[in-house]
Amino acid sequence: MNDIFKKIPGLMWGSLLMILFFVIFAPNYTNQRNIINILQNSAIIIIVSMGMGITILSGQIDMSIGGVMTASAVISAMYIAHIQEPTVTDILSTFLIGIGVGGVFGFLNGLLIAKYKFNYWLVTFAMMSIAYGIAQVVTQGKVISGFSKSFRNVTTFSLGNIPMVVYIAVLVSLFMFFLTYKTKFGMHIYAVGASEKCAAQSGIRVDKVRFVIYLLSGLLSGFGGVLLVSKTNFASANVASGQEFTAMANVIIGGISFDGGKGGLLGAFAGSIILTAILNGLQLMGLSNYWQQVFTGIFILMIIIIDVVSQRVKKTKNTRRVYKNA
Amino acid sequence: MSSEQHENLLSIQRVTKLYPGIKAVNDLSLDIRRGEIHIIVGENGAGKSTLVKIIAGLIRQNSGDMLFEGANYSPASVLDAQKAGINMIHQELNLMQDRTVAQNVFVSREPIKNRLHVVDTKKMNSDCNKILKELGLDFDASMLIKDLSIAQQQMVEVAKAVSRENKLLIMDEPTSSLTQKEIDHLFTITRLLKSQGTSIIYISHRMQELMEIGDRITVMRDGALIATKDIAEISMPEIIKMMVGRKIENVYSRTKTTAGREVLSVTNLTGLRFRNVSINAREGEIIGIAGLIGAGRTEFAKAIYGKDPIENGEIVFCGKKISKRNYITKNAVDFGISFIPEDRKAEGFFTGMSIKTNMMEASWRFLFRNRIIKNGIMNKMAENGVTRLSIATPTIDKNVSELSGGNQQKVIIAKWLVHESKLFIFDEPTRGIDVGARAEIYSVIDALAMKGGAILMISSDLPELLGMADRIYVMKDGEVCGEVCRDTPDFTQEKVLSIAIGETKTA
Repeated sequence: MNDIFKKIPGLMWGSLLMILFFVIFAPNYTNQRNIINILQNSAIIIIVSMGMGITILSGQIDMSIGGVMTASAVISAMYIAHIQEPTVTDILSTFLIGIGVGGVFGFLNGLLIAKYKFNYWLVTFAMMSIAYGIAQVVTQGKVISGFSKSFRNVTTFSLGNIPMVVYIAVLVSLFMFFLTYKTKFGMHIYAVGASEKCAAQSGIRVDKVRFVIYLLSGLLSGFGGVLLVSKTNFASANVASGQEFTAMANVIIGGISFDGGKGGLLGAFAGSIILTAILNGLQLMGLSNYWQQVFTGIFILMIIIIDVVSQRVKKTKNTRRVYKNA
Repeated sequence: MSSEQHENLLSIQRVTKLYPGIKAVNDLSLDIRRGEIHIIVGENGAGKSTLVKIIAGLIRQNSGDMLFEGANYSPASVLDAQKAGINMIHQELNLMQDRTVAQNVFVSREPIKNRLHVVDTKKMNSDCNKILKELGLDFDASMLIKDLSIAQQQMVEVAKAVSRENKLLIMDEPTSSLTQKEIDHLFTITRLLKSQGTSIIYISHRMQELMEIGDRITVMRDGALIATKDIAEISMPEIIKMMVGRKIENVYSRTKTTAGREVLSVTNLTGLRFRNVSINAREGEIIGIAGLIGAGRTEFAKAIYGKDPIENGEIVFCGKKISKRNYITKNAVDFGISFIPEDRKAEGFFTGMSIKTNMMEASWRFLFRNRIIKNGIMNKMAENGVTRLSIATPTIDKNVSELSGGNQQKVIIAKWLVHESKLFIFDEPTRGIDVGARAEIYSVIDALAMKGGAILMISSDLPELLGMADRIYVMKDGEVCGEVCRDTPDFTQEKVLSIAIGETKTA
């Protein structure tokens, strides 16, 4: 039990305290409807945060997530919008198209970063711009909305009062947990993130691992894009703008460090729900939407401070211990 | 002939490795026998690490061959070496801090349960515990690396290497961060491996230990093999004599100066990697700081320069006490302390920028008139620096990265000349610089001292220290263990090295 407490990052405790505050003071916060609302609102960001999580675990970052979501959303929306009474095949194709769009971006990211060793910041940043641009071109600045009920049901249909999108997020997360915590590939993500040099010297194909990471991240973003269309019933060129930053915030709150190889996707999962829950609480307390970004930022700063300070203390201690013993 | 082949596990034949300006390994031939513990000693930069890196597949030689178990052996990568049964324990730790011991030991070789490539954590942990137990280590395979002490982490590196199939195990200064108890432990492990038939190459500066466990010893100097002897046949003073036998080239120019006022006085300074260091330096003096790698020399210098934190003790600079609180590099620069770092590329200059920009780096405040940079002044100052130090360049706008090592070093020195410093700290001033340029650097250092500057010179190059310094402080394990002065009988390479190794102590 003690171990579990130690494993939870310090900031998570602060977050939980904040949520406790809302439980007591925010009106209707623990209302069943609000809790379901929180889960529903965090579902899609959980899925893309898994992608962000593995890229940050591997010591890099995928900045193209929001862009890829948007491109996937508008392209799949264009396809399904024309179909009044979609069959199961139509809906399945829509999802495949969206995931495929994500896959293409992920493939390109992986190819350029893993194989040709280009800088991951620049590549994913460029890809982000391309993806947002494509969305603009495709939509011509218009909003696509009004989809068939059956397509929307994929995410909004309630099973035991809980909408489908929550189940989907849980399933995807379970798969990603399995992948990162249980499989050899997961171990290799950690190894590459902790020390690329060490991983390569131990016989890990670093380029292969990195390629798969970006491909996965792309596929997840693509999937998230289609789900977003189904859930919100509209798609536009800025439907998912800024999601890469929200995902980044979730991942960091969950204790995954930018150093790479530190933390786990369970944290990304918890972080996504916590951030959504806090923003939801602020909203219920009557704080305007405009403040949300400020709070997200303050939050990230707090984590960085806690993380960096504790590491510095530990490093100093360790160095001194060696020299005292000598 | 055939019996000899059988006896030798690894045979190195006339291997040479060139780096710009130096022969790191020079036409070296050496045989490693089966089941022996072979010690390699030499001064810093003698080429020991380069040699073992070639054997471990980290770098490739320029010429020469290696025979392993009688067959041609030329590893293209570490993996090739590992496949052949050659593993290396590195000097620095390379572990995943947030992963378990088992995950580190078995990285890339994780046992899997089924076709989904699910890692068999149970098996991995129990296998790992078996190894840990064999090595007599008292921590569990499921512990996180970050919860272990540095010494324990070092032992994980050992476990990692031992867990593979080993015919030859290379240990490159494995004891640098271990305490006596763990060193004893490591030796037990080493003997155990030897008894199982593994050959071991062991690099270390801790001579006493070596005499204890080694079978044979090889002394290297300037990349060449000086001698290979049975440990039983050789004594410590003989080894030291062979290590330092470098000839002193006639490149040092030291003008006799009379020391003036005290510039720097450090009393009982304690920081992260050094303790109770007391030294002083006067105008016109060149003070050498000798010691082996890891003795805390650079860290001490960086503390004076305000880069590393100071925990205790006192620094008095030109009669003024420096306050420990908020002492940062900018203060040091303003006081007139200059630092010429060891790693030029990372800390010395801005790669990709011009000579002019680099020279002005520490002197921007002289260049402003009414908050505007005066290009005229800047050009004049830069031109002045180039002529004063005779930097070989057609123009002050040339990119520093395109200059030779010697000229780059001059640009860094020129930067501080512009600044009129009182104290110059040189960290390995001639590393990677060829002989001709070195002579010029020495005369620049000499000129600085003649003009009344105090020089602190950290160097692993003993002839250089003896050629230039008036006094040499010798550091070991973070403390000053001795001081030798010019024109005394102690001012010899043997004396300095034996203090650095811990063979003798002076008051």
